[in-house]
Amino acid sequence: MKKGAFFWGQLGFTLVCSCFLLAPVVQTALTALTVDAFRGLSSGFTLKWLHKVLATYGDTIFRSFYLALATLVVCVLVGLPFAYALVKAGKARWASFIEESLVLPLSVPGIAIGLGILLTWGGLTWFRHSWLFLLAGHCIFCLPFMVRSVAAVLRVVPLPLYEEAAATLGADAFGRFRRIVVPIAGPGILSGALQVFTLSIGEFNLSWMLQTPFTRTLPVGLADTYASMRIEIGSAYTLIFLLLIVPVLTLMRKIPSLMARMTHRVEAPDTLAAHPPVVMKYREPASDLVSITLENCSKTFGRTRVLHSFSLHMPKGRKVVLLGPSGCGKTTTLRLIAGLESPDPGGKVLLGGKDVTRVPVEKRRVGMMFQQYALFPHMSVAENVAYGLRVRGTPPGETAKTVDDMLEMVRMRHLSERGVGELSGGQRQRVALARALAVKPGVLLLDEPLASLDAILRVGVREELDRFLTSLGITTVLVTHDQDEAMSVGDLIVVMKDDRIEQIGSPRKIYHEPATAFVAGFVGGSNRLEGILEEDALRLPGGAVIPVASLSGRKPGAGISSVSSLPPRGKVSVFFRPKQAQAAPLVPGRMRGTVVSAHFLGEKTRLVVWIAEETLIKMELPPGETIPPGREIGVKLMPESLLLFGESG
Amino acid sequence: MRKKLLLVCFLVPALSVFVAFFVLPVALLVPRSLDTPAGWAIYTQALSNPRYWSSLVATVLLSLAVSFAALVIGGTAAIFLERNAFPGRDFLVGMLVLPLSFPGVVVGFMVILLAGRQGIVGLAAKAIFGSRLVFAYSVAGLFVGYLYFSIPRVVTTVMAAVSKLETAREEAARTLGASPFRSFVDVTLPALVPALVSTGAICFATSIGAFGTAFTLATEINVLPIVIYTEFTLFANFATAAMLSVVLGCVTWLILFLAKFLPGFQVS
Repeated sequence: MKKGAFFWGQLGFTLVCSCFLLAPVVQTALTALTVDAFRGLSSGFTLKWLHKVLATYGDTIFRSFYLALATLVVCVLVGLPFAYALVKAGKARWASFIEESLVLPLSVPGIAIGLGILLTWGGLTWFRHSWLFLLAGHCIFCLPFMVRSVAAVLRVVPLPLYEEAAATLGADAFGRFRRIVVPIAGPGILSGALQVFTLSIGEFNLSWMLQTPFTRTLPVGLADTYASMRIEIGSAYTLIFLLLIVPVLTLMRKIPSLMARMTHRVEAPDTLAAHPPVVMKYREPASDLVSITLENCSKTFGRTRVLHSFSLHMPKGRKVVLLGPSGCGKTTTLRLIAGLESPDPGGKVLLGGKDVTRVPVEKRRVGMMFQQYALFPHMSVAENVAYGLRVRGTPPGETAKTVDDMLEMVRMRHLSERGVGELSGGQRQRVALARALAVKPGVLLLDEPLASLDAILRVGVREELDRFLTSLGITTVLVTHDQDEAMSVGDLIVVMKDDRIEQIGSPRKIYHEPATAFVAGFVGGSNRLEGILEEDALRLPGGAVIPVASLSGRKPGAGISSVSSLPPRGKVSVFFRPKQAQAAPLVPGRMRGTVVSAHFLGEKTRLVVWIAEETLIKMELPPGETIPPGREIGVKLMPESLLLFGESG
Repeated sequence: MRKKLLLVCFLVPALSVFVAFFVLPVALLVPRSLDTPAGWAIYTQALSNPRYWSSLVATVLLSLAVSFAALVIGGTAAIFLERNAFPGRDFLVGMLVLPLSFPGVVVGFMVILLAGRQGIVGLAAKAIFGSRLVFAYSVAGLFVGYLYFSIPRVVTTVMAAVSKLETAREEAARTLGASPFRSFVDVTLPALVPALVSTGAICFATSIGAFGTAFTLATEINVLPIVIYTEFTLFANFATAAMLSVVLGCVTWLILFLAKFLPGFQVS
């Protein structure tokens, strides 16, 4: 695109603007280096002014430098924990109040603060005369910058997630702060430190108010030379000041790109072709098998009951899946087992028959894989896997061997030195798994392990994960909202809805004999119709009338909808699967519908049929057959396959 | 319970520094300002005193003018720099944000170099018009100085705000038939209002409390911070100095407070 007059006009304006800012800086440098400012450059260059300044004002320069360092140290020591506590407190009202008041020093003119400090503390003579007096002022002025900078970084990363991950790996609160929080806050500390340093070196208002003849800083000295009207000395002094802060300022401008590298991961394309699923290496059970028992566990946050009281036993060595829609309480249940939440009073969590309700998460020896994997962004693949061993004080040699074994097991050894930002989704999942297993946990907890993978990859990884878990033989609890995932991985499925358990059973049982209308609807892609059960017949939308007698032809054992257990007469929900309905000629008493669409799926054709207002059903046709949309058809249902649930179910 | 204790432990050091050297000293300014026979009346008396009153008005007007000018100049440059790529752009940005942490005294010196007796402007004027132009020590000098430290602040904030805007919205306006200028006025500018208001408020607060620049230029007009300083050091008039500090603090805080909530109302 050709650049028009508008562009050149703006460029010219911007250039003038930057000349306005830059010209005096250049003139400062020139004046500081010329022999005679009044005669200009022709008088020649000299360093004598700089020498003179260093001789006369050297002490102020060093004092400012030390003062800035001291301010920096104080700001890091008190500001870092402070910022962390603020971020931890989250949206609590007191926290936002404190944070708001912390920036007040920026909105009150320095001269007013200086006056206040002088009038309040000036009476303490020893304090008044020492450099600590200046330090106090500088800290007040600089602390907000450090706190905001650190808090900003800690807020963009999922800090609680990383901390929980570290806790399940065995790190206590202090260890988490030191090894996880501080390194992650790194860029924030750096950027805050640079700000604090430049601000402290250049601070004038407070320093001028608080100075004594023995605590004169660089800007105070500058003001002195300016007042003396010796333009060369003033320029030389200013030049020294600029040389001190300009490198720091330049470094500061690089920080955003540095931070971007921390928070933005490189998303490698993640396709099956690039990473063919491999059968993970078989392995002996990683640890003694442990059963999980929850007794009368309920959970209340504030006034909200997020989990109704229930008890659940998960036998050792089994793969248990908690299945349900989002917000059903399945993740809370998982967190209760991990120890990331504790149950309401009266509830008990037992691992291997031992009551661990009061045992903190880092002592429970649970391996947990988080939904977003929660790999520590500041550590390499190998360091991530080693973390749990390191916090437990495992000797380095042993740690290195275990890490190697674990990475070999998940076929990730060749990438052990990579940063976790350089991994694809599937690779991250394997690292997370290796990290969780490295500490030889008694139970393995997986929170939506496949949710962050894309759909194509998911099927392959699901099968791989199932083979892997089976080969490990470890007691596993997996949380998912995907029924296919639950069916293919679980030995035992716990279906949850609205903070309660709906049904517990094997995948077959759940599929064929759902205990409630919810389970019937949630599992297996069933059609749902609202009908009325009368004394002798079931009436469904579309004019279908099905004799009650025919409903009784069910095989025994599939109990719930046999005649003896038919729901009470009245409104009922009726479930059937797409393949349990056939297209048939229109006859009275048979369901009538209009084909909305027909999808060819290879081994079958799927029809979507409009039955009545707000009632669409899916059905299947044999391959090769199709019915054009718009055609009226009869829908033949197999009475013995219908599942009926009364209103209460 | 242990978690709460840990949080408190983390908060206490910073809070105690904050209370000891900010909350307490600033709060104590109020009783100190009442430490005269007049009591609370000192506030009404001071505001009817032409010296203080004119100083307050001059400081506020000057700061307003500077903030407005900085928004126009810095905003234009920032939008241009963020929306265009050309060789040397990064260097230009670097130049524009360089004075960001220059202390006030240095800024004052920069004004002397620009518009003082040996200033670039003066020399240029002499070469062209034959007479020297010296305005460093007048209100114009203060204005230039405050502008000098305000422009970098505006440039950084507005550039950050522009980078977060979706260009798709402007493009949508263009596809609907708006000229580049129209789409800028109708779409881009309204989206920048919160950033402009907040950075304008910060410029205002910095200007109104700026001591170093005025101190270096030793101008004929007395801005409020200078008045406070002279009351305190020359006349040892603690109560008046404290009172004026309270007034200055309140005005600044009020402006920042308004700026924080006004754009919020507009957006929602």
